[in-house]
Amino acid sequence: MQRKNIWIYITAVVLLAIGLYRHEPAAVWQRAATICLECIGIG
Amino acid sequence: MDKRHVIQLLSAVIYNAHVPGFLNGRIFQGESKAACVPGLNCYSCPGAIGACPLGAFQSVLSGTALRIPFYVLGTVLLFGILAGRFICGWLCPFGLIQEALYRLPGPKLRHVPGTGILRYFRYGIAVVFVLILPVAAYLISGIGEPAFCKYICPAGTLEASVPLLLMNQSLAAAAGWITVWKFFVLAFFLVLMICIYRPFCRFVCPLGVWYGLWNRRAMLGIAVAEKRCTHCGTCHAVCPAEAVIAGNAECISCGRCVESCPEKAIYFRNPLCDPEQLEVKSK
Repeated sequence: MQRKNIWIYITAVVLLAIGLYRHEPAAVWQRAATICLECIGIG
Repeated sequence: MDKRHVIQLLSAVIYNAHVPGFLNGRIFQGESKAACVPGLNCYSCPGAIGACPLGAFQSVLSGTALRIPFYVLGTVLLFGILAGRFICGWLCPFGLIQEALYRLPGPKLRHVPGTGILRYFRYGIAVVFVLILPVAAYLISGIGEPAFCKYICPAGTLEASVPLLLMNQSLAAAAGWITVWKFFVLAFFLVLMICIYRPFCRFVCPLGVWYGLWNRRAMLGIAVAEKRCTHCGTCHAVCPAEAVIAGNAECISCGRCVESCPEKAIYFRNPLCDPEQLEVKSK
C-alpha cells in the first residue's frame, strides 16, 4: 500500500462508516432488490 | 483466451450468479444486493446478486429525499483507490460484452476522429446525468430519478430490460416511449461496439470517469518507469483505448503496452512493492 494514499483509504472508511450509521445499505438494497422500471427505461 | 478475459468472464458470472432469475424472470432479493459490485452491472438484471454503484448512487442521492450517498461514495472511493480503471479492464461485465462484440467481423475504426474531445464528453455525461438531473428532478417534482440509468445506460437495457421484457408479459405492457429510446441507444452502441473498441467505456461511462480519477494512485494498474522510458510512442500505438500515456485516466490496464514496450519501462503495479523500488529493482 502506498503511504501517500493512506488518507484516501481513511476517507473511504469514514464515508462507509457514516453511510452504515445512516442505514444507507438498506436504501441501496430496497432499490436493488425490486425491479426498478425507471432504471431500465420501462414505463 | 488470456488471463484477463478469464477474469472478466469470471467476474461477469459472479456478479450474475442468480441463475434462477434468468429462468423465471424474477430478480434476486438477497442481502448481498445492499453491496455494490465494482463494475457496471445493472441491479435489475435477473441474475445480479449485487447493486450497480451508479444506480445505487443516483437512487440514494435523490430517491425519497436529497442526501449525500456516503455509503456508495465510500465504496466507490475504496474501489477506485484499490484498483482504478483496472476494474474497467478486468472486472466489468459490460466491458467484456464490448470487447466480445469488437471481435466480430466488420469495419474497424482504429483511430476515432475527435477522440481528444470525445473523451471529455463522458465528464459532462457524469456531471449532468448522474448529479444534476437526479437532483433537479427531485427539486422539481419531489421525486428524484436515476437519469443516467433511465435515459442512457445501455447496460441496463441489455442486461435487464431485454430479459425481463422477454420473460414478463406485464412488463411488456408497461413499455413506453422511454423504452423505445433506450432500445435505440442500445442498438446505436451495439453497432458502435463492433466498429470501435469499447466506445461506451471511452466516451460515456461515468463509472470509468470516477475510476479514472484514481488511476495513477491506485494499488493496481499500469505504471511507467520514467527513467527507462524513451518516449518512443509504442505504448500509444498499440493501446486499443488510445490512451495518450500508459496508466492515465483513459488506460484500462489491459496490459498490451506492457507486452509491447521495447524498453520494458511499463509494468503492472505490485501492491506489495513500492513503484519506486520496483523501478530500481528492474534496472
